[in-house]
Amino acid sequence: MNPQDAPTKAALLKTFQTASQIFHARFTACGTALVAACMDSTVRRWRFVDPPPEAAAPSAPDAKPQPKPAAKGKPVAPQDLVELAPIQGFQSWVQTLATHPSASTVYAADAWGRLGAWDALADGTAPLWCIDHAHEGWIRQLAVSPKGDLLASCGRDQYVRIWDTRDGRKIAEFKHAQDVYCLAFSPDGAQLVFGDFSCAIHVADAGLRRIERKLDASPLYLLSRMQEVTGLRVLRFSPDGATLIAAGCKPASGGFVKGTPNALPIDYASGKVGEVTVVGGESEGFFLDLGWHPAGFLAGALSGQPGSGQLVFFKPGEKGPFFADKSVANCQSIALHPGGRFLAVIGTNKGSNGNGRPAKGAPYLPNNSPIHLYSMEA
Amino acid sequence: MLCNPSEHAVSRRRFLGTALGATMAGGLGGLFSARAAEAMKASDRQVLFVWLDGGISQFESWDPKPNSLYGGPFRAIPTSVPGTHISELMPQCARQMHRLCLLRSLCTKDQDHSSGVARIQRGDPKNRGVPYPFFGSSVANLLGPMESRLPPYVVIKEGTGGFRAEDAGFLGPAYGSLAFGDGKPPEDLLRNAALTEADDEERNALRDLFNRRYAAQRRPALTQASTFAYDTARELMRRQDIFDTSRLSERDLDRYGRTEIGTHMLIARNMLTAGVRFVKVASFGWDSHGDNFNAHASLVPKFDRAFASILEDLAASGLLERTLVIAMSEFGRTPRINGHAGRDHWPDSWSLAMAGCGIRAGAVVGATDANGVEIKDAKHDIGAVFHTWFKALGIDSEERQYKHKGQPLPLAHEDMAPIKEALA
Repeated sequence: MNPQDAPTKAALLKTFQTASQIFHARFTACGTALVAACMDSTVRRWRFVDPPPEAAAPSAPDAKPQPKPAAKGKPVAPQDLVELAPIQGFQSWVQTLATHPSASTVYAADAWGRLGAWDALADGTAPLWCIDHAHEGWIRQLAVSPKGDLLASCGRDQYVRIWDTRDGRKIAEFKHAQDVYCLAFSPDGAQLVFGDFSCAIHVADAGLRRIERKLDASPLYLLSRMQEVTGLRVLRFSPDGATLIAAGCKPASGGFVKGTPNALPIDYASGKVGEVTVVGGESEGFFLDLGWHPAGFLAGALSGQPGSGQLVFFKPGEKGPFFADKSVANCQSIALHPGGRFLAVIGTNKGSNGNGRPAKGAPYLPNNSPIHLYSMEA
Repeated sequence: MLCNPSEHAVSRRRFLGTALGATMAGGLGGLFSARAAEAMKASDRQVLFVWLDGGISQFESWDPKPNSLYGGPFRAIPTSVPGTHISELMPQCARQMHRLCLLRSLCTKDQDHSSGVARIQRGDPKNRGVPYPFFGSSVANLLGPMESRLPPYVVIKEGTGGFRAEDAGFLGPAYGSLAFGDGKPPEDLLRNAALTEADDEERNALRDLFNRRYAAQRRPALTQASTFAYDTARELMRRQDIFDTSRLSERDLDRYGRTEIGTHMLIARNMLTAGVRFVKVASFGWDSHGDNFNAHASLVPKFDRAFASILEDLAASGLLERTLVIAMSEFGRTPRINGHAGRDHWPDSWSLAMAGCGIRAGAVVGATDANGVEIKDAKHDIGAVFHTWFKALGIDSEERQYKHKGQPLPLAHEDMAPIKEALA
């Protein structure tokens, strides 16, 4: 991307309402659809009615669509999203999903251990494969290898497992001594890193044969009274693999979990932590999601406290963000559109919190997650 | 309600002075009749009150709603009572369910900590213009100290300790709580190292002599509290073994968990065994407005282990037959999950657990709907729960009354009655 064309900010294009609370969302590799892991035990899917020019034609899960290069000039805003039939059959809430890097497959997992693969663009919702007991209980995070051949999962059962993305065959597993919260493949696909309960990051070979070394993100851990707070929620490699970003929250307390969003840039070769990016104060909460923009910066979703939240852009190693938008409440996830000209921020409806019933006699309704579509601007 | 630091800066002298002051101001005599006092002396019933301050989520503990709109990520597991399920975060309590009684129909009125903590622990009676005592103070007053002469109402909590007179409400400071901060007795309660045991005994003998002379010319009630306070302090000095954490066995620490609540529950077991009438274990930090599910994944298993272990031990020693065990908060947590993955305060439909003397073991009283929002049948406010507890302790709260400055006051909300289904 030409430096003068590099975006420096984002402008809200449109907000789409949804019927459920969303934990995590990603665009498919072709850029024509958005898939979301939802609290109501579904994976919801939306297709662009008028796909942005970067989007490739919808393709089968085993095809290899290549997003078109970013168009020059002012981005053409996608006009609308139409919701496809949700993927159901989960036993509990779905907190995590991952998309294939080149096909239209989405992998999703629920909190009772079910893991499966679906064609995100198909009219039907039958799984390509599904494993009922991939983990014992809550599967916290999934990651697909850069080539798309491996799927990694981790959960409360302290296991990290590797699966064949084609058929769900278990390839390897590692039993850790603690709850595992997050994971990521290195860009060359040779290694898998995973972050645990106490905010240690373990570097393993992608076959999980051995733990090669350990990196330290312990500033993100806090014992608050009796509550152990794990601030480490996201691991992201820089595209060249030189830097590993360990992000989440430096907790100040349990309960409310007040804390300051922190992104630790770890030099992957030496393990040294560089200048930590810190956003705001103790009310800003967690980095719950990060995405690398092709222009070389990170877009982050901040949870905030109930009613607040932020979309931020920052460069690893810089003290703070160079762009922040505080208009979205309780950001849960951020999905960068292929080509980097759009992004979707998953927020939460205003007034999602509150003690007791909202009003006497009023129906008691669940919260939901609006999808905020932004265009990137120079 | 969190204690403020000044409440904890209470020395032995002030602790004793407060109790003395209470006696001089009104004494104990007016609060209960001679007949009741006799009954109290005979009673050997005790209470373990586990207070989870901030509000444990009923969904992640006693009333799970797996795979429902607000159910959260956790599963429900079967228990030792067929058909009864609780959260997967409580596997140890699941094995003790045949000893427990779950009340899943709590509907209370206060959704704020500042007022709710006291309101719940005072039983939320009708407003009589006087502050009602906390349950611990009520029991201390109605059943009195045990023959051990140890303090009748003890709180084991994190942080600092001290004497908390305001728990006692209109009963007066003599029935306040004595808090063991981090399991340690209040500062300066123990004999100063510079004072030899012999000198201390000599001083106490002199005090006893003066007390007897003073008492001989006055009604006994006026000197009862002061004698009790001094005796209690002396007994505590003699019984350091019950709160000395260095004496806890490795096996017990493994069973109860090497956590704050594990240690505190072990001290509670020792205190009950040694003859403390009412032991409250207070655990703080349950107010999970944010990241509720990870918070409960961290907190509940610690509670589970400690609570199940003490139930097991009390049952094994026979103490459970005469000990009322309660675990609760000031309210539950909202069904709705907020944008910070938290649950807020919810007094409308929540749960507590009970066990021990007078309680129907293995029972589940009440039920909530599929999403945990509404109570299906009868709702129970804390007043009915207080009547139930009093009944379990052999105190007829529908007949008996406090007498405060000549004014008769009901023990619990007079429009409510014990929950029969929860009683043995």
